[in-house]
Amino acid sequence: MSDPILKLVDIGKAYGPVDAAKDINLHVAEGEFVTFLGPSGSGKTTTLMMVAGFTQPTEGGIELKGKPLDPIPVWKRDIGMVFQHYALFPHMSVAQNVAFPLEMRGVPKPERRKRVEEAMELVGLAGFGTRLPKELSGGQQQRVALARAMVFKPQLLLMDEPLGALDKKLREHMQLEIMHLHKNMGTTVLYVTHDQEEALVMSDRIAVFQNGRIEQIGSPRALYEAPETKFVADFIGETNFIAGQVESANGGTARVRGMVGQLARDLRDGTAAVLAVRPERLHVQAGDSPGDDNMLSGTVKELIYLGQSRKAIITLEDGTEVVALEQAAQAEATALEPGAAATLSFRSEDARILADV
Amino acid sequence: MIAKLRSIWLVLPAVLLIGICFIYPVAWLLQRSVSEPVWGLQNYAEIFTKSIYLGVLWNTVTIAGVTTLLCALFGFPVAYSMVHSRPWLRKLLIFVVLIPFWTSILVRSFAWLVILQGGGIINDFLTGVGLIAEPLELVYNRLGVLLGMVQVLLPFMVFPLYSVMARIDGSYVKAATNLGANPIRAFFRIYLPLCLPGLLTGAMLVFIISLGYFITPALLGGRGDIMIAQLIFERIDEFGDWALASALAIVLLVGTALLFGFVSLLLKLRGKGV
Amino acid sequence: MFYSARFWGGLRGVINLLLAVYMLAPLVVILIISFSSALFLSFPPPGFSLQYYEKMFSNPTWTRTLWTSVKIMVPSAVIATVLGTAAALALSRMESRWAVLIRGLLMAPLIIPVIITAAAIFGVFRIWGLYGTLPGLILAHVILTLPYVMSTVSANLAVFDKRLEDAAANCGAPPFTAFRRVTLPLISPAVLSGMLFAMVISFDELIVSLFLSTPTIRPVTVQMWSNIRGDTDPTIAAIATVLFLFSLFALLIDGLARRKSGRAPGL
Repeated sequence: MSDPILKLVDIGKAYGPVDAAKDINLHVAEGEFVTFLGPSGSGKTTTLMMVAGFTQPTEGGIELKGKPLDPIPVWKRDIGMVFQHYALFPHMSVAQNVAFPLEMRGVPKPERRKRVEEAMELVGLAGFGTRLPKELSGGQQQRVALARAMVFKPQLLLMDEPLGALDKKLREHMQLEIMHLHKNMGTTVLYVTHDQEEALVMSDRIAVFQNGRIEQIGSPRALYEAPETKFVADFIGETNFIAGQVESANGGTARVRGMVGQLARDLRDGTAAVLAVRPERLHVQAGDSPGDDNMLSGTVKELIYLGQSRKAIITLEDGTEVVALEQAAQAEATALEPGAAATLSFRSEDARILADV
Repeated sequence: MIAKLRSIWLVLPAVLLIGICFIYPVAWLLQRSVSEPVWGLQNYAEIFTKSIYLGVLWNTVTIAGVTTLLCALFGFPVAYSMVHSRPWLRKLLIFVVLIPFWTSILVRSFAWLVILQGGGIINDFLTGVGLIAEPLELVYNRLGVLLGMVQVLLPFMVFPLYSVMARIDGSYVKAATNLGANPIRAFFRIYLPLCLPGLLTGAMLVFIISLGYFITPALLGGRGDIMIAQLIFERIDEFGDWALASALAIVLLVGTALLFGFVSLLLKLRGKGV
Repeated sequence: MFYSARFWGGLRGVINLLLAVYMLAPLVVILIISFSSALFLSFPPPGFSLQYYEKMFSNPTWTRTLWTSVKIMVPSAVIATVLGTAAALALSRMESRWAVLIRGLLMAPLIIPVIITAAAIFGVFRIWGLYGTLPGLILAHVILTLPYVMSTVSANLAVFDKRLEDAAANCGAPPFTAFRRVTLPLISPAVLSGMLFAMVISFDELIVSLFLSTPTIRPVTVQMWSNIRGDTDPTIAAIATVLFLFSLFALLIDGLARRKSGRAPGL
């Protein structure tokens, strides 16, 4: 990785005794698409606002292209931003909105006009320049906001839940469109969302926020396949947790309730932990188990037909409910009945042992 | 911090102006009321013991009270009509209620004089058709004062009521009738209680504003309808009697403030569902 | 009969009609009388004439007092608008505790009965030598109109989306530019509205003017007051009509400004 374009070093924001964000460390490479994912109040927006300059960090520092950002006021930061609900200026036409950042930078009029036209074309709104924002649909306003944030070719583009106000279908369409724009322009993007699916689809890397801190940073695949904390495993996708204690920890592996799994982080024997297994990694069989290593026996509680797959909810002997997801073809081959005994098995590579906090 | 400092500079001129040219004068008035001609509460004692002053206080409260009652009785159906009319009629009604709001109170009082006085339009008409021999006394009495005041103050009753009524879901009354209440009972048990916050706000607004009324009673009332504000004016304008005038003004101020506080408290309590 | 919808509908119609007559009759009567050709008050007037408007504009008492009213109205409305708008802006970005206190202070002249304000200002202005002077009347009118401007602008700022200023800053606009280009254009209809409101209130104001004016500096309302107390000279109807037309004109401009602010400017 070349020199990172953006560096967040130990930044934090405290409101009195409350830490809205703390110990945030992040390096973003040029052209990278990084998403801040987390529930509301997790610190993701606070962190974005510190990068934009609307919020001053109470500790740590931010560097853009090697220069500290803290002494630079918002309007000199050269960072584009797409706001939640767009924040388009309602009294200016679409073209005036898009031209505004150029005007502020003293770009001469003919050049301004040209670049506005280019930007409008890029977002597929050529010819809409004379309209007022309120005369456009939500998706179109979204594109105007995007054009306004990109038209001055900022070094960094911030997006704060930009698709939150759109319906599901349009949202999915816009996700792809933003990804294509990102690829074409090569701009570095910081993107905030609470929608894990959106984060998985769009990002090069995802930073998962929780309680003002980053829980884990990694590629979508890494976060899904190899979560390092229980929160990440739970927040991204669906996971089964089987609670117990760490036993016979040995380098990368350990046992919980006798079952073998991968240790996500170094844990000592006796630590309270969960064994996390994704539903699609569980293999279901009818009948009692022969008592092998990574096997669980229980009773089928419910079977849910989902078309391309089937969900089986199985109650284990200690009352824990576990979900297994089988592809349709496989499901047809397994004869399960509600109320009947069933056995679950999984590979130890597919099980993660995470500290139970 | 910088933004906060800048805000202080923005608001400072207004605060200084109000402080120097309004708060200080009112404080000066308060001081006058207990220091003229000598320090003490004698001016207040006089107001609350002498029958002429008590009479004026009584006038003030009763005129304000009756005005409030009339505004409520008339304002309620008007507000109801506004809510339940087609848009064009609603706009027209709002315009009609607001028109006097945009005309000077002096102009309106003058108009009432023209209409109501001895040689005025109504009396001219009635004597002209031979219905009465002597002109009716329609003005320079309580009737004139009330006619003038209700017209001016009606919007203060109508708009709080309107805003509350507009938010009342029509299905409540339908539900009540469906549950067996006849329309009249449904009105008194369901609709009226729901309107109460608006009615209360409107009534208090009208009452408080009425207490300090001056122009309308002075032009349309008789000697028996003098209200506290007129007395204050006369004491200063004709007699230069600051002692009594300032004490009267403070009585009015305290009365208004107490009522205002009482209403805010009541509305706050209601808002909390007490 | 009590349960019939027609009965209630009819009653509502009657009440609406009553309302219209009660609220509008005085105004209509004034309008008609002001164009009367009779030499004294009579209704209905025997014919049409503009004699009372001629009287109004030829009688120096009326022209002088009308002009005095204008000389009070314009400066006081401008000052009240500037101070009220600045205060509203400051309060909208202040800590809530202080904002509530200051707002209460600035709104006080609207809540307290005018007679108290008038008496208090009169007492103090006499000592300060402002009694019977133009600056004194202007200052007093600023006190009375400032709360109207402030509350009108505040109401608009309450629905103003603060992120628009953030967005402007993010686009590269320094704070004052952001204010000038984004905030001000968006609140300007409310500012204009507040100013028109202030003008109308100042022009119609009587009570404070009654205390502060002298025969040499006398607004038109005070002159009307003393005339009405004497007799019902129809010239008053002509002046009343002018006063009313002025209010109506202000209302019209306000409406136009509101409509225009919703239209698209070209690039």
